Amino acid sequence: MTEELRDCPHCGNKNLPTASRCVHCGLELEEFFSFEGQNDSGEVPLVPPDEEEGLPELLRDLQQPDLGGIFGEPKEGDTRPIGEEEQKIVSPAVPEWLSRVRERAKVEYPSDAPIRKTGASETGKTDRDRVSQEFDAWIARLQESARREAMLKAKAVRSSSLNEEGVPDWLQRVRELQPKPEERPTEEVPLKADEADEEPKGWDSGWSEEDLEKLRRGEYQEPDEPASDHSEIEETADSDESDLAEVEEPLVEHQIAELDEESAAGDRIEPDISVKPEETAEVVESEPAESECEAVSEKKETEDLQPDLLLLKSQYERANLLKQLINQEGKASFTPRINPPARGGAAQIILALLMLIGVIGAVLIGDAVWPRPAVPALAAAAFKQSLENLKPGDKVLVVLDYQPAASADIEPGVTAVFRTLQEKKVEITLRTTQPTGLWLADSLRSGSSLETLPEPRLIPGGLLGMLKWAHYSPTNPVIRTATSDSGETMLSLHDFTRVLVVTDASLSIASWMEQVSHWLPPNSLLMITPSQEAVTLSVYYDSGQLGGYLAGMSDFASFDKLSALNAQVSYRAYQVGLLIMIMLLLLGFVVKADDDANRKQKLEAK
Amino acid sequence: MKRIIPLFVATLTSFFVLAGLIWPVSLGGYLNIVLDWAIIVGAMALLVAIAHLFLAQWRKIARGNRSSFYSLVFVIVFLLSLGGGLVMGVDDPEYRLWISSIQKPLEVSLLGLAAVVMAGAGVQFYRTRGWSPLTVAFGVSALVFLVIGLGFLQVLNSPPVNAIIKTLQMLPLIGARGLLIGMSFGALIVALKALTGEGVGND
Amino acid sequence: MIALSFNDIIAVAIAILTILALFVSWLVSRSKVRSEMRAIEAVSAVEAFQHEAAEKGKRLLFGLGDGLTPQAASVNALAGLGIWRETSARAVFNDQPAQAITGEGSLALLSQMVLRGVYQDAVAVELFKTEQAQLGGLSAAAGAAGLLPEVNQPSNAAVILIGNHSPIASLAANLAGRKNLPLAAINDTLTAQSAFLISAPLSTQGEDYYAAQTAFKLQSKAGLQLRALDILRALTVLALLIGAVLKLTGVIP
Repeated sequence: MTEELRDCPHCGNKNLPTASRCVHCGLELEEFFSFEGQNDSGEVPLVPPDEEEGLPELLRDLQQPDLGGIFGEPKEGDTRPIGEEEQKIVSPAVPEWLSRVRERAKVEYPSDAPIRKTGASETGKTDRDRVSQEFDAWIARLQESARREAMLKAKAVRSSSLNEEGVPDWLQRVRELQPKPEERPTEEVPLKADEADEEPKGWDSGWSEEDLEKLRRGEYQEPDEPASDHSEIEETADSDESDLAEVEEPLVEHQIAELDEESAAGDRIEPDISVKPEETAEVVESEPAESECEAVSEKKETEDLQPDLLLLKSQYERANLLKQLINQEGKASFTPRINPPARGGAAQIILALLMLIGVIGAVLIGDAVWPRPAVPALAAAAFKQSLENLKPGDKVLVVLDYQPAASADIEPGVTAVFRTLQEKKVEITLRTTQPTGLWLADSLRSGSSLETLPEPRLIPGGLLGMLKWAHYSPTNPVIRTATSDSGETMLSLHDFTRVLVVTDASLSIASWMEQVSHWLPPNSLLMITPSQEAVTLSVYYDSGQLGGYLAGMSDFASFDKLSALNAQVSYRAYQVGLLIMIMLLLLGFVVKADDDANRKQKLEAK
Repeated sequence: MKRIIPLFVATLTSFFVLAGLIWPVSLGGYLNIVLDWAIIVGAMALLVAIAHLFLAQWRKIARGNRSSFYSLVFVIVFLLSLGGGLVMGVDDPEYRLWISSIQKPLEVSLLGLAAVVMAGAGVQFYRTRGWSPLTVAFGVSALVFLVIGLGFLQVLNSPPVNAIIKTLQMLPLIGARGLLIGMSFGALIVALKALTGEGVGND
Repeated sequence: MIALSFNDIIAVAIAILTILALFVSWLVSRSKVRSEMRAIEAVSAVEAFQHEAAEKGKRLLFGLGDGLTPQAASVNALAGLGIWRETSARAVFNDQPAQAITGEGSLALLSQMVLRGVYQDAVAVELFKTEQAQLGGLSAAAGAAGLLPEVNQPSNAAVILIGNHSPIASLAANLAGRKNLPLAAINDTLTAQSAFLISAPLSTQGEDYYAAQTAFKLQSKAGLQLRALDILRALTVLALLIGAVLKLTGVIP
């Protein structure tokens, strides 16, 4: 250890080689500031950098002079910020560590006042901008060098963006980035019991109080390592090669101080820090700001040194981003595409033409009648029964809540139901929750000879409007004065015998069931949807929240009135579509199996 | 302080709406007023978003971007639709016919295109995702249900076959129900977070 | 007070159980017990895409869906906003910031609001542009149609579709595939999950949608939420098993 210490040019005392300030006189040791393995050429190394490389500058820049907080007892060799006006006077009778403690106490507690948060001063703001700029510039340098390296690599990259298996390159790389089962990262941030009320931390320390205390005193021993004298600080070569992200040791725990820029005078935040032995940190000197803010000190850390590091949340996130970037180096990374070839669009065009020809041919040639199911689905039967139970004069509310895209899918069923309702001579009230429902109702009326359908009216606010209507009660005085419906008497939802909702979206179904249905009488809510929503609806039907539903043509076909509308929907075309889909799936099977067999043959040939 | 006020308003509103749902007789009227406000705010948000969309496309035209031609088409159609609606009125059957004649075929064809795309994706499915329990199960189940959907088996009118088909048709309902249960729990937790003001991008 | 039906009582009980599960999850998180999260490809790809966008000097395109429509209000859209916020924060000083397209007005404004907050936190409000979070269209199909031209831009590094999308958005997945753009689809409805299972190379299934918030490994609260989900799932399985046994033994008619 002795041979590794350096002399201060000012007072002649010994200091750590990585110290930036003399621990005795507090003056800078710039000429002695160096790190092992630091690349002096100024180029950013492409291999995962040592923890010292680039970090000292960054960490120094991340220091916030207007925020104080130095934690733990200083270790031997620790440097702490001492203002120019505060010169340390060393008494030969006082142990060195005691004098450092006293110095630090003076810095931290100048008037024995309680620690107060300091707000961001203009100086701090400027420093933060400068820090941000320097950080970004450094990140840009890293990225540029990585890009240069990638460009060099990319020349050897094969021109096809798909590998032999047909998997895109980027997808393969994403899969390679997936952690193996034994390498899965932990997500826990175990908190200490005494930190229950503090701000949430993003780092996982995993250190017990006892161990932390020992570490601070320098008495911590690794389980299988011999005890090290706390006065000897070992710098191992391993620490130069350790990668932050690959180490399985507990991470440094920081308490992130969030500055409120709008508060004029904040409080100094007292973070609680524990240490990761392999992590190196740099002692960073700071000059005390003109305001009451205190300097934050950091020191270059060997595996046993304790960093004093206070980070803003944004800086913490940037540091984490840096860590991730460093972690990515040396691992599989994305390489840039060079003149990527266009993926064959011909196959898709041929496929689309095939489907079109098949479907159009089936529409023109094939039989259009959709077969009635021998045994209708329970829900469809319940729907039909519910309509059968209507009496003349009953009020039925029909709400159109679907998009034009689904009109071809739904309207045959809707038309059949409307015909049934008209035959029953019930009083239909037509509403829509979306503006498109206005012209969809028109096309229903005109295309299906339903001229007697009432004019649809828009419910403003969509589902919120329906929820409001569900609460509407003509007897409620507040509602009476707050709402009016252009003079006509507004019906409450309870006045309707049935409420029929025509919708095409899962979310809409869920919203109707969750928000409106339980305000309605039981089993009075019915739905008409495309076939893919049958799964969602079955849940509500089985629990008794839905009186019945029709989902898709196979349910619509159970209505007698559908036969007259079959010209709109060709069953043969549907079958042709299904056949084409089956063929394509089987083709996918075969192509993949063929690829695997070919690859296997090539591997065996090699 | 700036962030606390909206959080406070959001939390208060959510609890009031809940209270209005639980005590509809006493609070239902006031709940309607709050819902009215929500409807107005939602409508204004939509108007603002539409205006912003229009301006974004307008700026693209002004900058002469590569896609400015399509932005020009958008702007012209938008102005025509807006003008037509204002002049003729949304209740006018001619206006509605005009709009539906354009919108309906466009959207239906988009959905048809999506069907073609998904059919084509069926060929690439295994090359992209490889062999895994999920992909094999998906492929096999898709084939089974596509065959059932063809209707050829039902024509046989054989009771054992019908029973097997009925059992098979229950399987996706069972599986989907499990997924829906999980999704609903997740939605419940997200809703609780939103209730306490932690929802909007604040974690 | 409203009269509660049997379903309502069950719903209230489940809500109470959820709160308890969150509490238990919080307690577990405060202990030193570590738990590992299952790696979800689509979720971890979000982070990888963000890195690639930064390195390539390109932008990350988000499709946030249309989950907050008046027709179908769903809070699931808010999960996508969390990811949008985290990614935008990392892309503040990138060559090209992230871009979001939504299918609904409120969601568009919310995403702009979140973005502005990100730039404010980064003390770079002058870099904020409202065009970074735009409305694509006013319906599901229009929103998907508005997303397609943005996917077609050469400045995209990757596309992330997170939120409530209709199956029509699989066109965006197809377009991204033809341009060899990485794409991850994280959706909350069964129909969209089915559509993206076949058309997107990376997609989530079921409640993995809620795991998206853990993408950047900085959100311990998302882990808390997921643990609560696991507790609820375990309770559900237990309840189903008990119910099945009771049904088979004839206790439940």
